[in-house]
Amino acid sequence: MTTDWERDFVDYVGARGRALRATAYLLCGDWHRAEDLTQTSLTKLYGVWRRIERTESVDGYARRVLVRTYLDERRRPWRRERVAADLPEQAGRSDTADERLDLLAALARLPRTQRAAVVLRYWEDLGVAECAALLGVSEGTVKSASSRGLAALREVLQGSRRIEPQRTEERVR
Amino acid sequence: MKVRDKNGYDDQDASAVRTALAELTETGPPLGFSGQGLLSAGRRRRRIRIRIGTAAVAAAAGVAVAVAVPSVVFDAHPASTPTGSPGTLRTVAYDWDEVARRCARSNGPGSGSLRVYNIYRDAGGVLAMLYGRNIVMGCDLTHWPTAVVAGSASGDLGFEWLPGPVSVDYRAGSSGYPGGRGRDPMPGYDVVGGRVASKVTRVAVSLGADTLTVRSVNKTYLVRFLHPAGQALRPDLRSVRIKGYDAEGRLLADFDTDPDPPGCYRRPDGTIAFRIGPNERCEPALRWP
Repeated sequence: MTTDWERDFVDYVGARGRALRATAYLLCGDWHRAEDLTQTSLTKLYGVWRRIERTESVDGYARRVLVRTYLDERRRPWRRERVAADLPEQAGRSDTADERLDLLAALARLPRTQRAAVVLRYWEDLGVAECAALLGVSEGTVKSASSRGLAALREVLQGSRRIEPQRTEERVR
Repeated sequence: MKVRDKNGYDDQDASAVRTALAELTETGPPLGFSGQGLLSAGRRRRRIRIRIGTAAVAAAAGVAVAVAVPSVVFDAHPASTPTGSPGTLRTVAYDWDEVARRCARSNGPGSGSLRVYNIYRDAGGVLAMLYGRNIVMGCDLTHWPTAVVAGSASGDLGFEWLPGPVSVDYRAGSSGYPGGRGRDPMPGYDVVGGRVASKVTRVAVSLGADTLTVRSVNKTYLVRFLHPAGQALRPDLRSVRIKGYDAEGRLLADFDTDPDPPGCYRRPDGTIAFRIGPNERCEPALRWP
């Protein structure tokens, strides 16, 4: 028999599962692993559902579990990503596909915390303080990590002319 | 005038990155999970934890053990073979260190260092039993290299000493999964495992009317009773009859786990390793492994 709170949980997965998986994908760069990360996080969420519903944002908790599960993988070398010189799925690349693959490769080259900072700041729209609390680092670390990450992605986006090349004279010193 | 940070990036840059990230996620495959599926998985996980937790609390009653990391030289391919086991199963060469790492990962943080002590193969797949400093864990390797924890017990129990020739450390149950929604069916099961003294070479485990007999491996035993998916969990899992035999077939242990058999065991330095029930005479605890 499904209880009320379990129905809420099922509804939540239906409403937010896809968005969580998208965040997981940006973190790990692989749809299968993203699916694993999301399911692991949601199963953990089920275990504490009744408690967190009363105490904090479910979205915030789910995001925290997801990011920590992702970051925990760094201690397990057999799951570490390797940046391949050539990503698969290269046949018949269009400009858009090129850009996606380049962007994925650029994301994959970022250290994990930097990558997580970029995803949380620019995808999840979290503030610096919130991001720092979630990653367990200082706000300064988040600022520098997201700035470096943005620089790496900027290079790719400049190539596709989505971002104008920087003009040094406009920089604030 | 555009506002730029100290590195020269502005809001437009962030917006372009945001749009590009959104486009990256647009092409994903259909979702492979559902709320209902996760609900079933969550319930199963909770049920196993509750049962294991209950067993661990019962077993740990009155126990205060100084714990050390077990170290054992184990067979290259540990395997329990149930009598009357079903047909040929896929043979996989496992890297035991990697099995331990993946199972620890599946169990989540705090698992510590684990070692594989036993493997059980049957029609339900492949189940490993691992011990750590103060944790025992079952881990499903049926879809290796995926490893999925199948119940774990932890606490102050420790595994350096044995309360008699045979201990029961690991009990877990699952009602299984009937299949559907892209997942293979999985039979339900009840699992019993534990440690034995070196002279115990064979262990018979009875659950209700069913009995499975296995050889001991790495001073451990592991059995699994399968039942059709969806069948209710057996209420009698706490009551397991254990018999341990030596190489000549002599009966060295015979007890039921509900309640745990009374006994008192001392370490060589005279301290009590186990005391269950009001026992005044204490026997020497057996070092394990």
